[in-house]
Amino acid sequence: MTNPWAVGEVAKRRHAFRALGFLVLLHSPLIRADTPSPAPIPSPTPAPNAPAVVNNPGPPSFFTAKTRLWQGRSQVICFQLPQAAVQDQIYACQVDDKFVHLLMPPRILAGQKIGYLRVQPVVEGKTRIVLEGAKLDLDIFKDPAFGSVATFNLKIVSPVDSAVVWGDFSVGVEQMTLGDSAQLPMPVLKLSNGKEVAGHVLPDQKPSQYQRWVYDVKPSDLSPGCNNLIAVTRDADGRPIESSSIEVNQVAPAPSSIMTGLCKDSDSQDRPANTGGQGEMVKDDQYGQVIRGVWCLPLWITREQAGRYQMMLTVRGDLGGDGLPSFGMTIDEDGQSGTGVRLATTEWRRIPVGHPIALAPGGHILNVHIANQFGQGPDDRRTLYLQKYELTRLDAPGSRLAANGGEMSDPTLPMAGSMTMMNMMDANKGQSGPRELQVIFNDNIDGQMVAGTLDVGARCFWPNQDHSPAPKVELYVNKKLVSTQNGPAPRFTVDPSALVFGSNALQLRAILPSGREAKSVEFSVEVPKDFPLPAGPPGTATDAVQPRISIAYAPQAIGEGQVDAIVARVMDDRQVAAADLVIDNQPQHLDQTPLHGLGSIVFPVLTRDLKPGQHHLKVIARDAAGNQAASAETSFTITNAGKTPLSRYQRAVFILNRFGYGPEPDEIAEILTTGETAWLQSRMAIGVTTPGEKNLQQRLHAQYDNAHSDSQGANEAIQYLLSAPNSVRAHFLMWTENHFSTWLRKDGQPAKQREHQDFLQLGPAPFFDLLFTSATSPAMLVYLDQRNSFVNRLNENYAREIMELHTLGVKGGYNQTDVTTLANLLTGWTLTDQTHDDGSPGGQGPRYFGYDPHLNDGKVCRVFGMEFPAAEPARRFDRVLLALEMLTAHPSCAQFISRRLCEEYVSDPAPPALVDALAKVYLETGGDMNAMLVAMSQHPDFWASPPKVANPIDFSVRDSRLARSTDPQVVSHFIAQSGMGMFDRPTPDGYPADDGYSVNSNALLQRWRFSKRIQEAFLHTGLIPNSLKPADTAWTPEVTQRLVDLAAVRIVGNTLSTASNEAAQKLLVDAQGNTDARLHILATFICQLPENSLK
Amino acid sequence: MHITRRYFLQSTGALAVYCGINPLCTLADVGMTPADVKPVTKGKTFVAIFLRGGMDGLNFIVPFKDPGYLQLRRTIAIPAPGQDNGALDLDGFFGLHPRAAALAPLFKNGTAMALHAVGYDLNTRSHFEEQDTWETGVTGNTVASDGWLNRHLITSQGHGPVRAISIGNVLPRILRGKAQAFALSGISDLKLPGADNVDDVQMAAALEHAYCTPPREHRAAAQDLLAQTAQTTIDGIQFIKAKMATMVATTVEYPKTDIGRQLQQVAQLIKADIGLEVAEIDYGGWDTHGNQGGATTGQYGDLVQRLSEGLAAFVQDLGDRLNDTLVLTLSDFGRTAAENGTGGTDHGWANCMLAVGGGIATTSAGGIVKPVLSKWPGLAKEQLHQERDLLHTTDFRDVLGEVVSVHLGNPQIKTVLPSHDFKPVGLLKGALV
Repeated sequence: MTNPWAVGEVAKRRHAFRALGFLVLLHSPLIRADTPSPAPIPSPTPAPNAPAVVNNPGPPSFFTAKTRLWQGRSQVICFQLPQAAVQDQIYACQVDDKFVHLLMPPRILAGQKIGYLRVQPVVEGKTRIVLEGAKLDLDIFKDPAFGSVATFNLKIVSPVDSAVVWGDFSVGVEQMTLGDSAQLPMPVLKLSNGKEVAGHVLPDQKPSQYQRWVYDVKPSDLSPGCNNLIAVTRDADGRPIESSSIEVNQVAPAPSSIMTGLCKDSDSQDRPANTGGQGEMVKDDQYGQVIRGVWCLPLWITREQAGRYQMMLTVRGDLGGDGLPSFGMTIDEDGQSGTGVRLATTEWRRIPVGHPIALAPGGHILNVHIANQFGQGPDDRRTLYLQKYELTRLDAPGSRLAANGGEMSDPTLPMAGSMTMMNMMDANKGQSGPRELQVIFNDNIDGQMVAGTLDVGARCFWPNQDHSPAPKVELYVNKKLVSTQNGPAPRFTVDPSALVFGSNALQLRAILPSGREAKSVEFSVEVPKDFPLPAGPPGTATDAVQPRISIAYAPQAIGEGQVDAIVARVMDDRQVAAADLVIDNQPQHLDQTPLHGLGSIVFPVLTRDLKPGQHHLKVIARDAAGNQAASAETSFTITNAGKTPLSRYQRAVFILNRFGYGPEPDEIAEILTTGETAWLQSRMAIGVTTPGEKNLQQRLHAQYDNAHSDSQGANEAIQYLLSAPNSVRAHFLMWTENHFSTWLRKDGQPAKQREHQDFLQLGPAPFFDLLFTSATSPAMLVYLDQRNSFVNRLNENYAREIMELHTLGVKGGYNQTDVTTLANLLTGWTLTDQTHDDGSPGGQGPRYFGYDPHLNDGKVCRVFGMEFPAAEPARRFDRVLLALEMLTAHPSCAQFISRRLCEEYVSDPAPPALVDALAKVYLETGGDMNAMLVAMSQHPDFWASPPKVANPIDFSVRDSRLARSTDPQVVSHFIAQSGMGMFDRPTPDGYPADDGYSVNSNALLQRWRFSKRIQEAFLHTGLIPNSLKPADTAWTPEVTQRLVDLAAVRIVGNTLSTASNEAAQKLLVDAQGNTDARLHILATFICQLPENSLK
Repeated sequence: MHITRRYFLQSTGALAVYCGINPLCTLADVGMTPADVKPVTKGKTFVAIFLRGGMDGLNFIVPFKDPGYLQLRRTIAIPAPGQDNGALDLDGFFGLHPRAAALAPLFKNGTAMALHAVGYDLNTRSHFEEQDTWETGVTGNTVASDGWLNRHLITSQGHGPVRAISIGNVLPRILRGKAQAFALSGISDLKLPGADNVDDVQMAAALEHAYCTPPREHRAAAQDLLAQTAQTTIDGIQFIKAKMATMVATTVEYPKTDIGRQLQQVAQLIKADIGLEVAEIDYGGWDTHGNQGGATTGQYGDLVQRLSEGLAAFVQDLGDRLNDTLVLTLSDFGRTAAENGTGGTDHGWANCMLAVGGGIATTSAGGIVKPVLSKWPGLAKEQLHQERDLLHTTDFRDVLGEVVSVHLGNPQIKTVLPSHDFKPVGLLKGALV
């Protein structure tokens, strides 16, 4: 029952493996370019359709003329022979060593047509591989993400966030590395009061993928009360790496409030069965007693003693394999409360055990147990030694939380005494509020043009927020404090005098009564330069400055009866009150305002009433003071040239329907003014590090911080889709997660949430990164049972699906032997179960990817035409990387991924020519999803594709975003009832992309019902401008037609089909009721139409 | 604009519509040809009530004569018949929970029967997995499976456009699949979801016109699919509505509970003669880990009473139509034989199922012979499964198979319940045991 592999945790783990992996391989016996094939190894049974073997297989060739590599990252490259190889063969190969190291020479196995080589580029530039007569041009890029992603692995493992401390204690920091390759520099522990604490290496740490340091913190290092701790180091290129910060509260307890003693095996009877830790040893070193499984501390708490306690233990641990024991604490039989710790070292140390716990009057038993589970594997025992416990009451009279006045009024700590045990446990564990104080901007105004008085909305989240006062919130403009407000959702009004021309930085800061504080991200808003700044708020000074209007996009010709759009830019020294489009001197009464008072407006140009020939248009605008101005006039022609190709506007709607979530005005404006490709490239390039994205992430983090239920986890993802600044990236995220589909109900909320976050951070990355993220995701390893796969006890589930569903496709050419061999190769690729924040060892707590070479036999094997040499434990991890690289590099993978992309974005079944074109891009760019999506958007087959049914997620997210509704509940309710619940696909194949899946009686009824819910939001956000709302009796056919057209353009981006238009007209003309009632009918019906279900 | 055009009848053929198959899906998915699709017995309806959470069968159909029963359940046991709040005797061995008194006359007159110790051998005691198992009729790996009632629809031909309805917000897994099934949260759903001020007929006409007017040859595949589905849906809803409009409201008083309202609506649909074959009702709240209660108090008794009174009203309401109706309860799993430390029971193994209907094989010429159908495994420690749970002696798929083959008259049991060798259990008259 012992095992060495439970090796700490890895939150992010991509490239560092790879960067270091090649060092290992450079010296591996694999490199033997000039030696003949080794002793014959029985080849795997060839696939039934294996080509006939002939004596001369002909010259090798590459699949493309060029490919892309990333500096520092190893990559497999495939080549092919015209005929299957007769025998194993290694080819001579020329590479320029300055640019590229050859990790594995070109080699093809007997019976195969496809062979592999493996390279590692070292510097940027262009070079070439020559394999006999075949040439492959290499373009080596510097991966912008490489290096900085090393942050994935730096983490403070002990104490847990929000622990309470007194006296000396130890902090543990962990970083992942690879085997014996690199000794990482020691991180520094930084405290929020500016002090730094140096650490030391654990004395007898074995070489492992994880390095740990310990920091001994003294009371004088910390400030009283709240302190933030952060570990800081540098990567190989000298760039700083920071861990996420944790918070500890330093207290000064009165001696009378501390219960202390030596850890004896004081209670060996009646041990709760559910504290886990089967077979691990907890030993009382002092007394030489061996305690089986769990150490119990019985307590009797009187009414006076009831309250909140922090446990501190003095412990040490024996290294077992690569890991030191983690330990957890549970309280009483139900094991509900308590928390864990991920640090014990080989020397005695004082360690705070988890969060404070609540103890009600009566008898209790605290149970301490080893919490990292052991799998299989031959290694020494992992042992935890306990010496002394200190249990301190935090709310005892005389105890001071902090000397700075925080004391017991700290609203972030649950009150004791009046609450029952269960209540307090709930407060500790399932509280609805966040664990940290957060302040965010309510609206994403980053990058906006502003003028005049600026309104800024904020939102605060803080612990225990239902029972404690809101923080004070300050708004800083250009680092200067301009206003202070109180409340959970304060609004600030910024006088124009506080702003400067050009860019202005906005930041929020929230402060709780306890002194705890938090800052928002920094937003930047732009004040247009060529306007005088107004002297005061509206009304206090005369505004004589006219708005300025320019037309950024106008079509030159519009097909008769078609829709097009005008993009206007409107500026003023204050906000623009209204703008309108004027065609042939007729105001269209579209009365629109830019979202934030200035900037772009998209006006639809409806041509139903325009005769063929030339027409003129201009845009007019007025400000609040009534100053009016007009743009220059421009002209356009209405043509009656029969069937015309899609206009630029229609193309913009089409590409937004497919790549984003519908024709959102800002996106339409961007496409029409910058062009389709430029727009798409910019959307792909914008990552999640923009202030707007970060602000959204903070909001989601605060709202769903303590999310325990699956539905909350699903709602968080939905909320992101509804609010994401970048709809293209959000849509791709859905493709990725459906491609690597896992089931929330099996994965558990925490694992799924982290997987979701990882994919969110990645975006349209090279395919290998997506695959690697999935392959190291605890959600996937739980879902497809990989963690239950051991040598001689193989579980083929994951090995099969990684080929069938993730990389090669079911017809990708692999056979059952490949599945079995790959499953064997993958053994050891597993999870480490660590102690949870709530102290329980099983269930749905955080799990971490881990690799245990001892669970793998390391024997030579052949998978899918590649030989994996026998490997020492330290080299076995790299074999899995090699396998993933091989699958990624294979032309079947290029085909399969291209097909899957087309099924989502173009049509199912996918157009074969487009699949082939994208597969070529895949091979030429090293599987760059970014390049593939851009190539797709430029391909004629994309533009020629027939209408596709928007699946339930597309449909509801699209309508919600267009209606600016951000309620995730409306969407989650709808998609669950339509058979497409978020992360609720039980099977690993993901939701089908074919139209048939999304269309059935129930699903259609659900869409019609959803329409009724979402129409309110459309009407609230100006579906029909007030200036165009007719009197109750004025719904003439002409007026009705105009309203139908306007609503249709806003909701579906186009006017309706003849049939839909007739139906809408008749419905509205026949309808009873006043204008309001008819507007509801109008909005509902257009949402219900087939046009709105197509994309 | 035509309101009642039967476009779909000409375009897709009556068979496809009446057997509820989405016309774009083929029988090949289940290895059949259209020739294999036979009409089901006319006029029969099967009502599945899914007791979500794991119903404690041992306190519903109480084995009061089993010596283990009282020992295992110190505080929640139902006393033997004759004692205060005792069970209502059924056959001298089993008794009915006293709060199920409304069902007692049904057991007496042969319209109710309980099956006990029903289950299967791969129970995981997980709600999700076991609900899936009972709903898909597939054990082990249920993930790729559609619902067994949907497979029944695909493999047989019905007698009306609306063969399957779930009274609830969600189409449950048991009805999910390629055959059309309606999820209606109530009779009010029969109004096509539209704006408040629109007449239903206008709404249907408008939707039908918008979806179905363009000639088929001018539609892209996606538009065609939407058009055909819209037509089926609008027609189905209109059809039910028209039938309901001519119905006289029932005079039977149902209890004012969700389950009562749902049963009342199912009875209405049955009496409306719309060809309803399969109805499903979800009834949750049975996960009684704590404070389950005994004969008089506790949440469990409330659940039992609501179910029993609802069913009693349903039987009275249906009158003669009960002869063609079969109600069956299903649940995740049974619960532990022993009471736990918090006055409840935990996830267990085998369970009882309640059957109500006209065709149940409870009677012979001599009167009531079998109120409870069970090969009783016993509750002694060595008789319990893993020393904790009631063992199963009847496979649940045999019960479901009898429903499909005998009650509904669909011979395709092998397809509806694959990977199981069907053995009739003798629940229904005409079953060949």
